This record gives sequence, structure tokens and C-alpha cells, in this order.
Amino acid sequence: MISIALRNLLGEKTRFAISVGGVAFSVMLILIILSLYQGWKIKSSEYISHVDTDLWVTQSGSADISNSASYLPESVGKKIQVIDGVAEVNKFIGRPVNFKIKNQDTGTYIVGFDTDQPVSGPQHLVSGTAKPGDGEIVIDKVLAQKRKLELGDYIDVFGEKLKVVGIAKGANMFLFQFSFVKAEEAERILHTQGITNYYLVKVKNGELSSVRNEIKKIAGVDALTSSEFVEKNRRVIDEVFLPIITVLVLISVLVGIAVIGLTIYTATVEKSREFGVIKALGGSNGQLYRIIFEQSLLSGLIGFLVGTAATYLLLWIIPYYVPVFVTYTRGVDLLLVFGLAIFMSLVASYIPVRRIASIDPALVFKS
Amino acid sequence: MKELEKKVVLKIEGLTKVYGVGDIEVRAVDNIDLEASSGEIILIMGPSGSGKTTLVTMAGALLKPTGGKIFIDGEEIVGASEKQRINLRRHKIGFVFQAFNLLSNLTAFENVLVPLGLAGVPRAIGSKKAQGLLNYFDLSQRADFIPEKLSGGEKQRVSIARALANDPKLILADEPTANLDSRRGKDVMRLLRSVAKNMGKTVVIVSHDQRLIDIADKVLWMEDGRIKNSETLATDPNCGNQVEMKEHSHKIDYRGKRYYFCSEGCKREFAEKNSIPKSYF
Repeated sequence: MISIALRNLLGEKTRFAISVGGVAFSVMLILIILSLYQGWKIKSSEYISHVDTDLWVTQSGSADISNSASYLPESVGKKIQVIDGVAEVNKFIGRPVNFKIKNQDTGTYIVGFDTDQPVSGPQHLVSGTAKPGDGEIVIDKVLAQKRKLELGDYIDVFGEKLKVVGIAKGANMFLFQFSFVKAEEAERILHTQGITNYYLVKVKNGELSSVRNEIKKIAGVDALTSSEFVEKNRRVIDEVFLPIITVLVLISVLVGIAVIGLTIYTATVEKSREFGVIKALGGSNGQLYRIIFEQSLLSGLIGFLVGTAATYLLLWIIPYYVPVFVTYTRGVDLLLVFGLAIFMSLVASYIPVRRIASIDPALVFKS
Repeated sequence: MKELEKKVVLKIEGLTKVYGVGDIEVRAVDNIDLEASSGEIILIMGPSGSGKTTLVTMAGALLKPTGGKIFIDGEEIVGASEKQRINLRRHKIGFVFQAFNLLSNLTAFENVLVPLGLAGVPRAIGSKKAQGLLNYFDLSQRADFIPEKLSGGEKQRVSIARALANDPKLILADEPTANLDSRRGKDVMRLLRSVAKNMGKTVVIVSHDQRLIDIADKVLWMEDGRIKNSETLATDPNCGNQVEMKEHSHKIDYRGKRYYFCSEGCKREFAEKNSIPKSYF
């Protein structure tokens, strides 16, 4: 049978464009939100997941590095060093700080690291050096772009002038970026002499479990494997953003349903007589419903394709202008959005289908 | 002219349609009997509101009557299920409308294809059939045009082609010439006559157009839901027009058969062609 649905859609190009545009907009919104969510999730732990350690030793109750504090006395480090199976212990000094750069409030997470054993230092250097000296700092590329900083510029951190000597990638946590200074510099700036935030412990082969259990015996101390610590940091994103994202996705789905529903419904009302003619010619309700579903599904599918293409274009362009716009689009999210587009189309058909069912074919005899 | 075997295609018995009850009761169609055979053209005339369209809507299985029976090709349709009525409309009834009612976004060819598709005819077979019908109605050059680009006469020809797509026994035409000028109206009349006489279809026409009397075999006059007058017409054997069978009509009785003519000229021409001696008229 001829696709009356396709002809109806193409016969009313403006309406078709509105319908497709509505779905595309909705698809774009959902995909961008999901991509941002995934991007944030990955970014939130990108730096941490690259820190070369087997165990993160934290103060008990401290879950992630951005929302809870962990302060450990040096005595804890000494106790860890004597545990059988421990290969290496490194200090991780750092905390989020806020100060002004070029008169703008700026948040960064200052990490102090041992430049001779840079397990927690910058991971992907873009320019300059990865080993800052006294009075020097390595910043993330996103922070550099945001505040238009270059190598050789100075940053005033709590009265200390630090020279930018390196720009690195992979230290953007979307809410803030990591900046790196020498461990001694960090202790001085952050006033953490005698205190370490985390201990990074490397263990000998096959000793992970026993070392971990021994560390946990130290009062007020917890030990997490690298992957557990990464997961805990990701969970923060889930807890904070997942409800918001769910609401936004729902709103987008409703917008999509409303747009397809309205356009298909008005088209159905306008074409009531023609649907009556089809009924008079022997068209069953089922055959007419198929036309509506086809119209709706075609709008949904084309809207999905247009929306996906527009999303990829935007995700490619926006980061040039908004550096913190970090996204990652997963295949499974594309599938989910495709399913949502189909769902929107089917739901949007409901009212037009009811309308069609009530059309009296005898109206064809009315001139 | 081919002689076709006559068979009753449409039979209506005591058909009644009542709207409203009590004081506001309206008998749109009141106890009507009617019979139409293959190859026959029935013209139903009457003032607006006389019940013509209601009658044809019921005959088209689009409206359920309050009482009476309708048989199409021997099948009783009043008590039929919705599915059976849909099937009947697909296979046994073709509709021709005053407003053409072509699907605006489809081409002429696709419009003819629609009933074939609805009836589940495979695309290849349907396409052949549709193309054949468009050729028959001299529309092959206009096959790819959407209705907006067709003239009124062309639209009505497409509409007739569509009505014939599934080879129905009965064609119901509602004011088929009303939206057409004189020349195009005559074209459509000629085609409807051809549909009845050459294809053997039963054609029931509802119209105000007096010109249609020229092609009708029977004219019914409806008023207040009833048939007030019924007149069977004869075909002028010379020009093919329908003529009243009255005593004062132009006629010839020859070898046991009576011929009626629309004019004295037709009568003379027919007599000359058939070498009928003057003594017979």
C-alpha cells in the first residue's frame, strides 16, 4: 500500500518541519544532558583514576575528595610503612580552595606532590613543565582557558604569588580543576604542616587484602582500593545530578510528546474528511491507525536523526567556547534516546488515533 | 451495444431511517422499496432534504437504517457486522462524490490505488489495474498529478476510476455533475453510462441535475423520505439518450418491438439505417 502517512507528512512541509524540529529539539536536549552527565562522571574521577596507587588511605568517614575532608597525622604514615606487604607510601596533600584570579572568584583543588615521585602530579602535560619548583604552579588547561592564563603568568593564592610553569590536561573535575604545586609549597599555602590528607599506598603482589586489613586496624583510618575510591567520587555526581537529570529528561520527553502530538493531531483534524473517505472506501480503523502511527513514527525517527546530528555538531562546537562543557556520548545513551523518540511517537499518536476512531465515514456525502 | 445478463444487484425493502423521537422525530427515509439490476442506471431526484443522500448513504453501508432491508449482490447488509460492512464497501460498492473527495497529497494514480491497497491487492497487480483504469478514462497523462493540479472534470474521472478499482457491482454517485460545467458534466455522464452499459455495473445516482435523465434507465422522484414518482425510461436506439415512454413520445412499433426516440430526427435516422418502411411510423 502507498505510504499515505509519508505523503501526508511531505504534503505539509511546514508542519512536518515543526514536528521533526520538536522531536529533534527534545532528542538534542536529552542527549546533551546525558552526555554532560557522562562527561562529568568521567571527569569527576579522571584525575583520581590515573593516580598511580593501590590503596587510598583516608580518615574514616571521608568518601570523596570534593565533598568531605580527610586529615591524617604523620603518625598514620609511619604505621603504614611498617606493615608487611607495603611497597611504597606517598603523601597526598590537597584541598579545594577559592581565591581571585584577575578579580574573578576561582575555585581550584590544589594538590601538593613529591616532585621526585610524582604519583599524584599532573598526568598529561600540554606545555611547560610537570615539575613545579618553589613559587611555581602547574594548572589545568580548562582553568587556563577560563581565566586566560599563560605560562609565565602569576597567580595570587592567599598572598603567595605562584608562577604558572606548566599547563596540563586531564585534571578538570568540571566543578573545579586540579592545580599542582610542590608538597612543601602546598603545606605552606594550605597550612597543613604535620598533616596529610590521604596516604597513597602501593603494595607488593598478592598482599593487597592483608595490607588493607592491617591499615583498617589503625584507629580512625579507612583504606579503599583505587577503583573503590574512583567509584565513590563518581557516586557524588550520581547523587547530586541524577535527580536533576531525570527531571530534565522527563521534561524533554514531555516536550517531544506535546510537539508531535499537537502537530499530528492538527493534521488529523484537518484531514478528517480524507480519513472519512478512506473509511468509506473500506479502510478499517486498524488501517487508519497505521497511517497515524506511521506519521508519528516517521516524525520521531527523522527527529531523532536530526536531533542526534545537531547534538554531535553542538558537542563539537561548544567546548571551544565553554571549556568546562565536558561531554561523553555513550552508544547505550543513543539507544535510550532512540527508544524515547519511539516512545514519544507512540504516545503522541494516542489522541489522534482516538479522533480517527470517531470519524463518521458518512460525512463524505456532505458537500 | 453489448447485451449483458441482467441480475439484481441492489434490492431495498421497506427501508426507513428515523432521526429523533417523539415530537422531534424526523423520517428521513420512509418505507422505500427499490431494485436495481446490473447495467442499469437509477437516478434519484428530489428537493434538498427529501432523503436522497440518506438513502444512498444507507445503500453504501455507511449508515444503519432504522428499519427495512438492503441486499447488495444478494447479501443482506443491515444486520451485517462492521467488519462485513467494511468488506462490502471494499469489494462491492464504489463511491463517486460531488466534491470528488480525492486524497489531496496523493497523485491521481495513487488515489486509484488506495482502494486496491485497502483491499489487500498486491502493489504490482494494483498498479496495473490503476494504470488500466486511468488509461480507460483518458487520464494516463495526468497520472502523476496531485488533485490540486487537475481540472474538475479530471478529478471526477479519477474519482470514477477509483470507484471502479476493486471492480464493484454497485456504483453510488452523489451529485456527480454538480461541480462541473456543462461540457465536463456531459463527459462524466457519458462515462457513467459507459460504466453501466459497457462494464455492467449498477449505477445509482442522486442528483438535482436534470441532464442526468438523459442517461438514466429509471428516474425516481423523492419527497419527504418517500418515492413520489417512478418512471422507467427507454433508450433512444439512435443516439443512446434516455426518453420517456409515453403515448405522445416519438416511437416506432416494428416487428413486435416498440422503439422510443428523443426526437423526430433520431426516429427518421434510425428508420433509414434499418430500412424500416414509413408505414411503421
